[in-house]
Amino acid sequence: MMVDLIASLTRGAIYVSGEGLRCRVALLASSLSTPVEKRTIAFVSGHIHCQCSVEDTKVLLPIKPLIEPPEAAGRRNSSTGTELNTFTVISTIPKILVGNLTLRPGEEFNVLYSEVIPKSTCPSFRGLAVRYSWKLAFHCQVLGQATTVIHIPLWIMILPEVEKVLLSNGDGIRRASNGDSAVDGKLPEELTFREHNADGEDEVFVHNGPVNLESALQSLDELTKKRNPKIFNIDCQFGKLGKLTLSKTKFRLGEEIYGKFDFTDKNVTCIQYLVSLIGDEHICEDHRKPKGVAFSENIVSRANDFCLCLQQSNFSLPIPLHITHSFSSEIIELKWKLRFEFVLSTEAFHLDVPQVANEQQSVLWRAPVRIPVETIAWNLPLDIYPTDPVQVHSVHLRDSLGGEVKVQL
Amino acid sequence: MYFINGFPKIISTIPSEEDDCFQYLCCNREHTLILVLRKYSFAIWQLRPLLQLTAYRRSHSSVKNVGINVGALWEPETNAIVIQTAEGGLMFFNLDFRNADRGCYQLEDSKNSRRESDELFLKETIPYISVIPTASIMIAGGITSLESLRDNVMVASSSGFIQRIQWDGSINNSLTIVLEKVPFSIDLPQSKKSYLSQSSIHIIDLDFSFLLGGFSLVLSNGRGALMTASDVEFLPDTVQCVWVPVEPSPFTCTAVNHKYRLMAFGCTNAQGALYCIEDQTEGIQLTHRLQLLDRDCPDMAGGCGSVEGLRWTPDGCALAMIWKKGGFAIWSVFGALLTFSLSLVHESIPRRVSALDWGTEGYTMWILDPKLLLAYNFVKSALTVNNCSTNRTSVLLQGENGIMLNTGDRVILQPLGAKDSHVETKYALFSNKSWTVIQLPNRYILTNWPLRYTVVDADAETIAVAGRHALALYLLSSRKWKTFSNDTAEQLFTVTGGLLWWKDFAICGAYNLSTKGQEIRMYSKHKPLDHKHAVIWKLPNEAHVMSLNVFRDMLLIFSSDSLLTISSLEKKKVGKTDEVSVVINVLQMVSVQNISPHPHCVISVDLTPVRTETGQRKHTGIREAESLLINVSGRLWIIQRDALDPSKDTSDDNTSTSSSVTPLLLSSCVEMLWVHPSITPSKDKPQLCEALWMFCGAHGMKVWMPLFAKDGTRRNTFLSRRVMLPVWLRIIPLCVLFDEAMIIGAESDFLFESGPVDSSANQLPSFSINRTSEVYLPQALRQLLRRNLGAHALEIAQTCTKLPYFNHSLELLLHEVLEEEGTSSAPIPDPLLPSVVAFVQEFPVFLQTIAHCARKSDIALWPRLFIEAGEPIDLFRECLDSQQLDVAASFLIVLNSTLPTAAVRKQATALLEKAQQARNTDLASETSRFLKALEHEEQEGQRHTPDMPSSKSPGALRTNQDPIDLGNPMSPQSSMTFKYGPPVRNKSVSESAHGINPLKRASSVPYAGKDEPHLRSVSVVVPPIMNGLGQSSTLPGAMDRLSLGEHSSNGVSHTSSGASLTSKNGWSRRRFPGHAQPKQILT
Repeated sequence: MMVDLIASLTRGAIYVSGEGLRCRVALLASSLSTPVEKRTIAFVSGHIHCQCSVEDTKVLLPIKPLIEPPEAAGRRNSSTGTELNTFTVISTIPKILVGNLTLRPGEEFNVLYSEVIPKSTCPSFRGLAVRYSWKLAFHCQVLGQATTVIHIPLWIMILPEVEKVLLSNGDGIRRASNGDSAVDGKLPEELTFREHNADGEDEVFVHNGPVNLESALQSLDELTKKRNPKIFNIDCQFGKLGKLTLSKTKFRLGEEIYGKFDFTDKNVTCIQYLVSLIGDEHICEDHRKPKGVAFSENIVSRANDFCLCLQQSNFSLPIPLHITHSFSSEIIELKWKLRFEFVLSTEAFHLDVPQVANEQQSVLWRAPVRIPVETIAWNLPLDIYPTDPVQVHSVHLRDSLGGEVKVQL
Repeated sequence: MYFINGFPKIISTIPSEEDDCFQYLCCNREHTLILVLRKYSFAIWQLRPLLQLTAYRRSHSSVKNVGINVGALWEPETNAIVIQTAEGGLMFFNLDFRNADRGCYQLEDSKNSRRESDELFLKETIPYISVIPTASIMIAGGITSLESLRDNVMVASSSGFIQRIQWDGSINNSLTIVLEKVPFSIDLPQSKKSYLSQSSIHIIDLDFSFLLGGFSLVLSNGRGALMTASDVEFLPDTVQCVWVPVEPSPFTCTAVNHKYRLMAFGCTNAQGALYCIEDQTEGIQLTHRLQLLDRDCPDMAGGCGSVEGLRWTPDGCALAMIWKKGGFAIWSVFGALLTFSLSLVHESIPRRVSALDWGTEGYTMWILDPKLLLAYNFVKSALTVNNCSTNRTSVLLQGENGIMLNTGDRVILQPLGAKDSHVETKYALFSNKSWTVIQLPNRYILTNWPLRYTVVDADAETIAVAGRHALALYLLSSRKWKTFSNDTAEQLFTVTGGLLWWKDFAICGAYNLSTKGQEIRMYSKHKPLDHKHAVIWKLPNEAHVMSLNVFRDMLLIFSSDSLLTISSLEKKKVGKTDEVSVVINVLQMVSVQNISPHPHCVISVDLTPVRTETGQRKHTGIREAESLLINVSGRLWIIQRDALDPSKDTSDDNTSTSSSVTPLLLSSCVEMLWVHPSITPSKDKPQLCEALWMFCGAHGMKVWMPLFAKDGTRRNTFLSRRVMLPVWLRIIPLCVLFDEAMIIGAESDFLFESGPVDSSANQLPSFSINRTSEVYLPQALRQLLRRNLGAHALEIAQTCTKLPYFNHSLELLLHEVLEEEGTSSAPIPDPLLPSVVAFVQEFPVFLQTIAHCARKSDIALWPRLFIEAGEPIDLFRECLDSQQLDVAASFLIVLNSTLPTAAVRKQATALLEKAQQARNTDLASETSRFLKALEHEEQEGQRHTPDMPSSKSPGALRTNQDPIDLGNPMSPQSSMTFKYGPPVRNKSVSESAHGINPLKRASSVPYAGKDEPHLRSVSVVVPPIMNGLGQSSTLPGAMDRLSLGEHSSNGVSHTSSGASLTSKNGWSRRRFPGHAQPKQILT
């Protein structure tokens, strides 16, 4: 007789750290085989952990890994070919969901695993030098067999300054769950947050529940909402190019960056521009290999326009939902920026047909055949914040983050 | 479906002191070049990259002699242009392409800096062209309009002639049509002919369509006509005209739609009127009017002025209209309003749209103001050009540089909690309003711009796009594009029409540029994009593929010889390799010549499981191809399977052309249609899933719904009847979610731009695109009830009870009918309310629905509701008996306003007892608080008489769009104790509430404040936003974005600060008298 374990996350695999997570675990004994046989499941336990994989050629590991992983400490992941060193950054205390359970053929056992995703500085991130992967792991053992480990990949985002929100909004701390916890009736693990007070005093804040996502998102709204548009005068060694107006510089995932160029006030002509949204993976100095590169760039979206004959041009760059927001952990810092490349000409360029004094003469205007150009680049840093996990959910449905696993024990 | 997107691009402005203003603009036939006309000069621009190619300024003497430029026309092959001047002059110019290959705007990098990114290099040379004046002639009597017909320019003059001038400037007088001599008739050709009585009547606008078979004319007397000829050359003797039916206001301009064979006329009262030619009589019929609703623009004729111009998009799916006072509107082909803007800028800067045209593929719209030239970006639904079945399962929009995809909302089974190894589940809605924006790969689009066809597969996992040449694939899971490895491979073929996904293959109808043959090409998504992996089927004839569609394993090919080829597809392994081939067998060919005047008029072809009531059904467990649906110029024809059954033809000639089928006309004015995509018939919702949906623009949405005989199950029903129901939507539909009973679409939303004040001259409206949704269930049920098909309505509703918003749909249904019939001033002969109430009674949520509906309706409507639903006190008792305590509490407010206080107290006490028994402490404490307040009121002994300013105005805040929660369910204010009475129609609040916005005022009323008793009664109007119907899903927080039609505004308000205080049964706790200090509710 076989036992199937089906684990499915109630709300997909996308969460914000500090949020409560619930996973339905079903144990199904298949009824196909002989009816007399029965199976005893010694235990099923669940925990959430975050693993960090670094590429040895690029990153110098801290001498002492932060936490030893509970299983297979320091295991090398050789599947990708490159040397990856993996260690666990954070892990919750395993919860026992099932102990000494006997299943007869055709029987089914359901249990709900609930846990608060621990607070951390590392969101899920797939970089070139460093990867942070969050997983929900179930260990289960059928009596007389080896322990099976089941992983459900999670995608975790980190809401900035959630503590501040919690502090300023008194009733922000409330139990979001309706009191239905795991089958063993235990409340979620108590979490201790070190809150940073507005006065600068540290105080220890204890609460036994997940953060209120709604109020945290509200603060995010506040943080990323449109204020006065930012106007940049673009000058270069050749003179004044024009003006760039951005509605804001703090964005959330999934938003669009709208920018507007105004070329009316200029003394060099912008012929063409290219704007790219780039993520900079910056290895912190302590962890950088002596001769290694400090950062690597990842271009996620681009827009360009031939603006020679235009007075005003605009671009819109989508911020994809699948990228990781700006963050900085001990090892790495992910910064986002817009890189502008301008192709410009110092020659004056007129579109209007010139007037002539001769009454009888008509005038033909022809396009210039050759234009000597210069190219300049300019970087503009941006902040990208996470967004509602439900919104992110839709883009991850198709990759491995399906939030459901079925394993035969 | 066109949606305006983003910021406008300001191309050129003219300083206010400059006299050489913009006059007119028009694109060439391919929409690749644009001619911008100014008073004394003109310029020719290339649309991508956007560059001025050449410009020409006329001499002063020429302007003096023949006047300023007013209009222009392109030669169909883009070899010449003709300019019309104010004094009746025509100036011909040839475009000089001799040095075009030399190129211009060649960028040369300096030594110091180099361009690095690929995007900054142009792959194609920009043609170096100029214009050469060739001829110049004068037309007596002045020119009113120009149009090209074959090699001639048709020039309409105010003397009543249509002259024909060749592109070299020579006039052929023998071909001149004299309007006076043209016979006019009401109906062609039977009716009596007459001639124009007044000689002063002339043509003011004309437009030609080959598919329509003639010219659409607007005459100076404001009437419209269709000018046809028995001869293709339009010889003067053969020309005759048919009057367009008289409209109340005169016409000003016209534009013809080739594909849908429509004549559009603009009127002086700002409206538009569209006409088609009826098939049988060939008479001209009004199809619809273009008219803004009062809620969009209360005074359309006054606010907009007369219609100045009309332009169809290149694919004929949308119409742009400009008004004299400066606004513009975009309409779908059958008259659904897509976007409109009355003024382009702030009122302080008057600006008017004087001319407008569509850019390549309709991705840009060029707008001309005398001092300003600008372009807006558009995205269009992929269905406009590629009407295949998988594109209807998600919302797919295509734009100049990218694609926007939304896969819609889904109802998913959710575990709630666990009890004794049993996890409770419920259905919850996963809302997904965000767009997945996919940028086109630079490598592909640089050489193959513009994007023509896009298609997404049924599971929304892969997308295929086709531009000028070849195609590119996108895998959503890996977020990677697949393109051909080099340009030469791409140059091999071009997609002529039709692009779709079948299993792992992208299938396209292609023209091979090297063999000059027509082909069907298939590329697997698992293989690199390369010709050696392609499966190619060479089509035997010369006719090119116009559109493709697939149903299960059957491929439909519609080609330009009006033949529809039905073939089967089968995957087959080749040898022992993993190479997969596709075997194609032609099953049948159907000629659609008898229903389609021209292959271009075929909008879509579908093989569907939809059946009419005749014919026998085979039960194979899978949905078979039962009928062929063909949309020809908006007329939807159905051809039954029995007539075209491929399996019947077992003889050798099964590929023969059969034209003996009798098509049935299902509906006219159809823009789009939807059929459930699944292969197996749905057991859950058979009626909804077997339905056929049609979008008919101004005529709304139509659903052709099957009704199964009541006695037997569906399996035994050989004959199923169908009924056509109209469903009025507030959104533009792009996708029907059959299982969710929901329709999703998109809209352009005005984006407020808080730009710097100094550049206010540049402030133009900008737009963003929202995903919209609407649950159609209440509408459909209502239509069924209206037709006395209550039994069927019940059957359908019972299949949907698991939907998380089902209860709200019932509420909405009841509420809408109550509102409509309760507020109607005229007596209703056949009221629907009794049957709706009886209908709701069939469901266990009846009491709850009545209570919620009462709370959300005007008090004045209560008598109307409770006459049908029963006495409130009985309903309350029923709630108590059935342990629906929360619902009982909802009824308490109704009791409070209909019964004396003592009686209310008695009932409230009963509720309190029940609540205590049920250990519902929340409810018990709330009820006791209510009782206390009641007591307090009694002790005071002075119940407020209803003379308070807004005491009788609970409905005053309501607008048509936002039915509000009456709220304040338990407040025992005496002001609400009036008994059933006549409806109180209130306009008085704004006056009586001392000039203060009652909403604001009410929101800040402290309910507990004893010292302000006179204000307390105002609280009746308070609680509109907290708990409308929008609160439907149980998912936390922001997941809950379902907008249930008009209640969307309520849903949005959820994120407001007060939301967390809403109690389970939907009330805000702070509303109870005697409750703690209230907070600000509305912000």
